[in-house]
Amino acid sequence: MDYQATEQLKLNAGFTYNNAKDRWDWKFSERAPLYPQNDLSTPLADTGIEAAGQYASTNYDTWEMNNQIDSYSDLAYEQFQVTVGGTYNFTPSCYTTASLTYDKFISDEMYVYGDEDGTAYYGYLGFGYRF
Amino acid sequence: MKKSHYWLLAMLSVLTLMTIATAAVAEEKSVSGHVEIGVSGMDTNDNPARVNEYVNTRSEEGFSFAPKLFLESQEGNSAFALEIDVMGPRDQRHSLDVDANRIFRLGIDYQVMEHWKDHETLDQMGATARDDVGGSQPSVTTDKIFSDLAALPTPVTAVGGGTLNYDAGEAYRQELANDYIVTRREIKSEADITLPSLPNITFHAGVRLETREGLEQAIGVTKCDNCHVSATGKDIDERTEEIGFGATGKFGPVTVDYDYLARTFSDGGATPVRFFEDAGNPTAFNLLYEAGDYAFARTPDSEKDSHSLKARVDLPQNTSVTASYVKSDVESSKSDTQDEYLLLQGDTLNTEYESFGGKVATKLGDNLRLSLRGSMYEIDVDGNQVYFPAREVTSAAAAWPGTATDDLHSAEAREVTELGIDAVYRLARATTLRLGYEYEEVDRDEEELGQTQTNTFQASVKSRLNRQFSGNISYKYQDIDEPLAGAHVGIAQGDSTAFQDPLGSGLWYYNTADFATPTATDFTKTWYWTDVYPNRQLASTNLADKVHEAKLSTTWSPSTGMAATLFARVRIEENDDVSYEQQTYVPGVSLYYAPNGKLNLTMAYTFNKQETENQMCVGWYHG
Repeated sequence: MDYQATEQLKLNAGFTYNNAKDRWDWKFSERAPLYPQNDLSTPLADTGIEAAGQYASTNYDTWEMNNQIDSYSDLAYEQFQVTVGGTYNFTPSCYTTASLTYDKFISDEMYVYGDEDGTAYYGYLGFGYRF
Repeated sequence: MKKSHYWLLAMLSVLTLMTIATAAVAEEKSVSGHVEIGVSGMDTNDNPARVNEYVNTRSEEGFSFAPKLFLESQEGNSAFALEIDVMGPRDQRHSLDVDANRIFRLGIDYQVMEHWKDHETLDQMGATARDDVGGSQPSVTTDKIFSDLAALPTPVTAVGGGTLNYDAGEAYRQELANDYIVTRREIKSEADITLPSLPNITFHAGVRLETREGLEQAIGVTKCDNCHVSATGKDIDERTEEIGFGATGKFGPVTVDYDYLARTFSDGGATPVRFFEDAGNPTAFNLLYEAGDYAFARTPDSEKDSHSLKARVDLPQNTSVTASYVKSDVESSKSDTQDEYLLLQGDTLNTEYESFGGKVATKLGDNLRLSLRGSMYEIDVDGNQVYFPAREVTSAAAAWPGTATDDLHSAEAREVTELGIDAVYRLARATTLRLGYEYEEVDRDEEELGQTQTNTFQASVKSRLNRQFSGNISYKYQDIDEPLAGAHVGIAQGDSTAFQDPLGSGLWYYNTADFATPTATDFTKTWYWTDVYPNRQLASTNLADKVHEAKLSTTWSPSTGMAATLFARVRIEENDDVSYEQQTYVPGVSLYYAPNGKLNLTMAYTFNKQETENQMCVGWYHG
């Protein structure tokens, strides 16, 4: 928006909003057991193939958790940007100008880049001469 | 060469400014503009990499001196414009345009910007299949996982037999603290000269210098077992230099244009190095990268030379004939990689591009414009052979059974033919109908990649219905025969030693118990190479073989102070061979409203929705 408020004062303002969502639905038919004796509803500790130490099943995902793997690709973010500014003419030749921008990024669902939330403020103040 | 660019451009700028300034002073002041002395400031919280991705003012918090200058002058047939806009040390734009009596024209642009690059945490790398406990799982590790295992009450320092030769915790913390940000600087200059004694010929020359400096993330992985994924910073110190010259001449109805371009690209940044563990899994037979520190994520230097010749003949009856010829040679240097492998015919890879094109356009009657075009281009890659020293082993039992030398196969080499016809018919005073057909054939040298044929049909109507309404609507249909294929996927389909999924998913499996125990010395027992990979048969591609696309744009402008534009794009593509479908919908609206001379508003809204359905082949083995 641009607005000539008075003969000396001109104002401007802007607003931008972005909303993005991504979703992946895993249409997956139940996979066959790698070992014929395994029924996937049987707790691993009862199958006879449970390992000890670092290879124990407690160290990694269960099959219920693996079936949620598509949630890794659920992405969502919002972004706002607001800018206000103006120019004031002291004389036809001399003027001052200023602007302020507020920018905010909200990462609603994290992806492989970690927590991407952030805010930023930018400002500018200047004195000018026209010739 | 590098320093001479700066000096040449600086000298030209100073001379030009002095000439113009002198002329302006001599003939009374005719220079106008404005100058601003300003200060910019930036403050950020949390992660700046997305909110300030393309850096505004400065990448770190603080204040910067931000001057601005705008000068313009016009005197007779000469003019110049100078613009300087500085918002921060690495957020700048400068431009200079000079026109001296329409004999000499010069344009110089200089820009500086910063860009925050992606920084993966690798936190997702520990995921693996729960039931897959055969063969020492979990075996996908990162520096953080190794660091956590070493901190256990009973420290674990080896996973799957693999160990690291560095402090994983320190490496992880150091990499996490890296700032991946690149500064790009570009200066471009173009000059034209048209001598009064030779008014029908314009000579032009141009120079471009682009640099990228900073740090990017490079990620590498070791083959099992374990499969260690780690990241490190890669120094970016890239430089692109371009110089070009040419001429455009008009000789009666004939216009001829020639351009020459020479470009060099170099990366002076240090190549990152990472530790590749000894591959404990005996199916990882005879690897090139194991048990040592190796360079990775290299960027090769390259050079390009290009000649372009175009000619156009304007004939009576609104007819024109154009022809073009382009030849370019690209050379990519591999001299830095002659350790892990050797190119046997020189240490460069060379590509040649050559194209011929022609077009005839004419007007038939008052309402019909017709054009026919055809082009053919060929990308030719010089043959070469790749020699792998690591395949030469002294022990006969561990010797690679094949040769240590492979022929270089290029996926790029191809011949492409295009033919097209376009017709524009004026249906009414301000309404035109456009119909087009194009045929393209891509014939690739590499037989595995096959041949692709594309037929494209287009139709559009553009109209200015009245003073208030205008718009256009278009539709495109493409039929693609054999789009570029990906690698064969699937595991074991149709292999007599495999069995089908008893649950009827259509998948096939190998039961590893049916294979001889793999060893590192007998290639017949490394069943990944001998059975799993060669028996992949399913076709894969991420490209459609049928595409429908429709676009609409309409503007309503009831007065000079108001306009509304509605637009929409719908694209539907599919490939039944790989069960792929994608639908894209992009509707939007933009408004302009200026109710009086003091206020004007612009608003815009765009919605973007894309749905994709496709099959995936997921190897549920080992992380």
